[in-house]
Amino acid sequence: MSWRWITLAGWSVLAAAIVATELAAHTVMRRLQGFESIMAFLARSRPTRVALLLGWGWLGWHLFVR
Amino acid sequence: MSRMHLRRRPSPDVLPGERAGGRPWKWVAIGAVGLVWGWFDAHTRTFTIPAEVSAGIVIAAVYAYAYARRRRGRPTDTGGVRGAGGSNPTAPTSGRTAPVARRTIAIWGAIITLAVAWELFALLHLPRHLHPTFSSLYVEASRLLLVRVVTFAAWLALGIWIVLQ
Repeated sequence: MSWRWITLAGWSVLAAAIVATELAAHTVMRRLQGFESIMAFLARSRPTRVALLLGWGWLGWHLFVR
Repeated sequence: MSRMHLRRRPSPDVLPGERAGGRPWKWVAIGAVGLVWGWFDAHTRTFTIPAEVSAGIVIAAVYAYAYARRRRGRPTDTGGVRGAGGSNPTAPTSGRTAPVARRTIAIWGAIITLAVAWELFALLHLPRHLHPTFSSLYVEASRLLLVRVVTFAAWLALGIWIVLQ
């Protein structure tokens, strides 16, 4: 097994964990909240909201322009 | 303190599109704008001026929107909304402050930490085709026009959602 497959497996596991946690938060684990809650928590204070917006801008520039 | 103030789960009579202070049709409109703009953006090539202009306009517009909302004084850092009904303590404030268990922070924190660690691990190893990072995977996937259009629309919606918090 090459490093490529190992790295891809890692990304797949992470993606599955994100989807499973989000699904669980909206179905069986009612005490668990979705990723939106974490983002909303971070966006509540001005400094972290600014940081989120700067990160958002960097992400878009990195993905679509580089 | 075992619980922290996080966003309240919406009550069953609250539509999903209303969580971030907007009506569902707003998000439909934002999605439509994102898809149309994304379609045009998908026809630009990276490292070119058209790509810079396309993404730059969106980033500038969202930052300007955030600045305009701040100038109008909403949202406040306490989660209230000034303006119509904002001075009324019983007025709805988009459900900003509600407790959430540390379990939520622990689980999502662990996932985010692992994702960052995996990204750094891939980033620090070469060659890239053997150690693909998140963005290099996106580059491969974005050869499909639909992937790039949908990603662009989702990115735009995320930016506006952050501003609306």
